[in-house]
Amino acid sequence: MIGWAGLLGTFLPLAVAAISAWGPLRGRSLWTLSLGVHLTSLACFLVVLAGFYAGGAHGDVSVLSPVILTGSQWSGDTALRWAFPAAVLCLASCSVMVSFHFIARGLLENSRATVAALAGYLTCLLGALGADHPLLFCFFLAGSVLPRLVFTGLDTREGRIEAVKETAFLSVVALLSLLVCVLAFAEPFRDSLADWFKMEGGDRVALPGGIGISLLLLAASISAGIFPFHGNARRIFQMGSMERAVPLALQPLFGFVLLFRFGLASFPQEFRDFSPVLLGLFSVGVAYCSVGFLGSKSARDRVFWLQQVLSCFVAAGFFTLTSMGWHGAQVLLFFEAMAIPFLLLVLACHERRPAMPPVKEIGRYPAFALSTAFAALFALFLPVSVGFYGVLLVTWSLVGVSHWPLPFVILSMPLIAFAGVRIMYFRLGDAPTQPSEEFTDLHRDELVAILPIGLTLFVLGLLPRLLMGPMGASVASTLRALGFKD
Amino acid sequence: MMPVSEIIIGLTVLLQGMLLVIPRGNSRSRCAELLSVFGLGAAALALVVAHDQPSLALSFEMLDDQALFRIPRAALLLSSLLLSRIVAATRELPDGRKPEVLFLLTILALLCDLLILSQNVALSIILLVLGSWVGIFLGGLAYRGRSEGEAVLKYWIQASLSLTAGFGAIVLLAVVAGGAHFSVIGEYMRAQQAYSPQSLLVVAGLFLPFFMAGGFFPFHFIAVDRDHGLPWAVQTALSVTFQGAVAVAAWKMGVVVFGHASRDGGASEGLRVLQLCGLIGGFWLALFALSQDNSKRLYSALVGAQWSAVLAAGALPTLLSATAIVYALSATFVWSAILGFVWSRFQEWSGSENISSVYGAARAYRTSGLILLLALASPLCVPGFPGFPSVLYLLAAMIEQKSLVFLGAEAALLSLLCLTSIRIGTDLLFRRSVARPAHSPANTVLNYSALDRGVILGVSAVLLTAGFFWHSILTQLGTAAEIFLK
Repeated sequence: MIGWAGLLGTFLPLAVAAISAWGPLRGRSLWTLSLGVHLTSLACFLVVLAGFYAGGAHGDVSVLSPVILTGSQWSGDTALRWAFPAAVLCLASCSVMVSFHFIARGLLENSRATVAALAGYLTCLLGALGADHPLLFCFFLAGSVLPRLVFTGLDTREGRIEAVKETAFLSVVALLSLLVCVLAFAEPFRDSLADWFKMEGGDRVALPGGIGISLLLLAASISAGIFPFHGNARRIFQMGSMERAVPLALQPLFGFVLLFRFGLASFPQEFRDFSPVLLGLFSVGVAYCSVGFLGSKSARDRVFWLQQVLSCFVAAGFFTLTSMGWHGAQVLLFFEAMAIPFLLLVLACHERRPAMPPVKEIGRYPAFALSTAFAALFALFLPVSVGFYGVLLVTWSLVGVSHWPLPFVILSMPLIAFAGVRIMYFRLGDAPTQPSEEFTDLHRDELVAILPIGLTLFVLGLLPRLLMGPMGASVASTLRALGFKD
Repeated sequence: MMPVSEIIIGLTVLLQGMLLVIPRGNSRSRCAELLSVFGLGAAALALVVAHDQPSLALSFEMLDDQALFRIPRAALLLSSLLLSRIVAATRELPDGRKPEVLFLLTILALLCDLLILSQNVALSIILLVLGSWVGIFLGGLAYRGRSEGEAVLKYWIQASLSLTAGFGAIVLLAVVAGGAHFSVIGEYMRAQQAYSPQSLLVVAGLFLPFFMAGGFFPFHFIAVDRDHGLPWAVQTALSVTFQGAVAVAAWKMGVVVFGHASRDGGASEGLRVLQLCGLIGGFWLALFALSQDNSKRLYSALVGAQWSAVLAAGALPTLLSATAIVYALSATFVWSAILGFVWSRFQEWSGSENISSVYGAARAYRTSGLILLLALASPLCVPGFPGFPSVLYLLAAMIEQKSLVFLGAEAALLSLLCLTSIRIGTDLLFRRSVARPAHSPANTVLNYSALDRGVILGVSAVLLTAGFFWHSILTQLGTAAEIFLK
C-alpha cells in the first residue's frame, strides 16, 4: 500500500500536464486542479515517510514500475524504490512545488504551458529520486529535459535565449553520456554486450572503469550544476522573474541522486581510487564558492554562490566514502532542496517590492521580518538550522579521511559568516535602504508559500533527530551493503 | 498474390490518375485529397495490422517482402499521408495543380515502397531513377520562376548522374559478379579478400547510385542545395519519403550483400563504407544546420543528418543492430514528416524562407506549437516518444562494435542533432514573437481543417504507441530481424 502511494504520488502530476495541454481547464480552475494534485502528491509521500516511522525500520519501500517496462526481462530491476533519504527528498520537492503555486499564482493562471511543464518536471524529479535502475533514471532524466526547456524558455529575456539552448544541450549531453555508461557497465546490458574492452576479463582495471566513471561524473556534474558546469546552474538565476527559479533550484537533486544511488554501486573500485582527488577538489571548491558568496554584488548572486557552497559540501561528503560523510551529505542535500528554494521565495518577495525599509523599521512588517530572519538563519548554517549539522558531519568526516582539505573547509566558515553579517548590516536586498511609503508586508499567498518551508526547516533544526536518526541508519546500511566500513 | 498494401496503393494511383481526366473543379481536388488520405492510410494499416502477404508471386525474385521492413514501409506511407496534407493546404502550388501533385506523391510513395522491397540492383537503380524523375516532375509542377527552375535543373542533373552511375554499376556488377541480384553479388563478395580492389569496386558500384540519388555523403549538399528552390510540399516529400526510402534500401542492400562477409566479428568493407559516409555526412550536415538561417536548407540538412546518423550505427549485421536501425529509421520517417508538416505552414504564414521570420510563431498559435513540440519530443529523447528508445538502441549497437572512436562519434553526432532540434524549438517557441504579416494567409495555412486534425491525431497516436510500447515493437522486430539475417 505504501509503495502504491509512492507510485501515485510520482505519476499523478502527469495528469495535470495532460489536462493543461489538451483539456478545457484554464486560469483559476487549472491552478486549483494543479494545486490539488500537487498537494495529493505531497500527501502520498507523507504516507511513504510515515511508513518508515511507523515500521520503525529503515528498509526500502518498493513497487513495480509502470507499463513502459513491464514487458522487459528486467522488470524486476526497473521498480521504483524509496529509501529514507529519497522519500524525504520527494517530500521536499513536493513541498517546494506546492509553495511555488502560491508565489507564482498569476504566472500559473496565465500560462498553461508553465503548468504542464511544472507538473511534468515534478514527475520526472520524483521518478528519478525513486528509480532503482540507472536505465529508469535515464528515462526520468530524459523526461525532464523538455519540461525544463519549456519552463525556462517561456520567461527568457531576449538576450538570454542562447543560455536556454546551452542548458538544454548540456542536459542532452549528460543524458547521452549516462546512457553509454549504463549500456556498457550496468546489468543486464553488461552481460549481453559482453566483452567490450575486456570488461569481463581479469584485466578490467584502469581504462574501462576510468571511462565509465568519467561518463558518470560528467552526467552527474552537468545535472547537479557543479564544477566545472556551475556556470550552467547560474542560468536559472538570470531569468526575468525570480519565481521561475524556485522549481529549478531542485535540479541538483538529479546529479546527486545519480551519484549516491548508482555511482558507488557501479564503480566501487574506481571511486576508491579517484575519491581523494575529487574530495580535495570539492573542498577547495567550498572555499572558492565562499569567496564568491562574499564578493557577490546582487542578491541573486548570493543565492547562487550559497547553492554552490552547499553543493560542494554535498560532493565533499560523498567523496569521503564514509558513513559520517554520507550522512552529512544527505542531510545537506535535503537542506539544499528546501533552503535554496526558500531563499528564492524570499528573494522573489523582495524583488516585488519597490524599496527595502531600513533595518530599524523592519519590525513594522512582522511577516517580512520573520521570513528575512529565517533566510539569514539558513544562509549562515547557524546551529538552529538543520544545515549546520550537515556541515558539521561533513567537516568531521574529513578529519578521519584526509587532512589537507580541512583548512579550506574551515576557512570557508568565517567567510560565509562575514558575508552574512555584511549583508545583514549593510543591506538586506539590492534596493536602496530608504524608508518607503509603498512598502507592504507579505500578503497571504506569499505567507502561505514561505512559512511552511521556513517552519519545517526551523523545527527540524530544533529537533534534528527527527530527520537525522533514520537518515543515518539508512545511509549506514546502504554503505554496508556496498562493502564500505563505517 | 500481391500484398494488400501494394494493391491499395496501386488502386489509389489508378483512381487518382482517373481523376486527372475529369474537368477541373473544387470537387476534383477534394476527391484527390481524400483518396490520398484513405489510400495511403489504409495501405499503412494493412502493412501493420493485416501483416500483409508473405511473398510476391510476380516478383521474378526481384522483390522480397521481409517482415522486418513492414514497419518502416508503414512509416513511409504514413509520412507520405501527412505530407499530402501539406500539399492540400499550401499556397505555393496552384489549386488546379494539386491533384497532379498528389498523384505524383502517391506514385513516389509506391516507388519508394518498391525500392525497399527490391533485392536486385538493376531494379533498385530503375526505381531510384524513376523516383528522381517523379521528383523532377513535382518540382516542375510548382514552377513559378527562376528558383524553381534552377532547382529542377539541379535535380535533373542529379538524376542523370545517378542514371549514368547506376547503369555503369549494373554493367560492372554483371561482368565482375556475374549478376545483379543481391544474393549473387553476396556470393561473389564472400569469395573475395577483405578490402581487395575487386570488393572495393563492388562497394563503389553498389552504393554510388544510392548516395547520388538520395543525397548522402559525398553528395550530401546536392539535396540541400536543390531543395532550397522547391516548394515546401515537394521538398519535404523528397527529404522524408525519398531520402528515407533510399536510406532503408541502401542499408538493406548492404546487409544482404556484405552481411555475411564480416570477418573476425568486425564490420565488412561495404557496411563500414556506409557507416563512414553516414558519420561524415551526418557531421557535415549537422554542423551546417547549426549556422543556417534559411529554413528549407536547415530542414533538409537536419533530416539528411538524421538519416546519416542512423545509417552510421548499422555497420554490424547483428540482431541488435538490425532492430535498432529499422526502429530508428521508422521513427525518423514519422517525426520528420510531422516537423515538415508544421514548419512548412509557419514559413508559408510568414511569407519568408528564413527562420528568423517565424521566431516565436509557435507561441502565438497554440495548436501549431503543440504539434511542433510533438515533432521535437522525439529528437529530444523524451520518453514516451520513439526518439529515446531509438537513441538507446543505436548507442547499444555502437557499443557492440567495440570501437570507442565510433561510439564517441555517434554520440557526438546525436548530440549535435539534438542541439539543432533545440535550436529550432527555442527559436519557434520562445523567441520574441514576430508580428503577424499584414496580408497573412494565416486563416488557411495555420487553421487546420477537420481532415488535418484527424490525420495529425492519428499520426500522433502512432508516434505515442511506438514510444510507449517500444519494447514490444522492438521484440517483434527482433524476431523479424532474426529471419532476415538468416
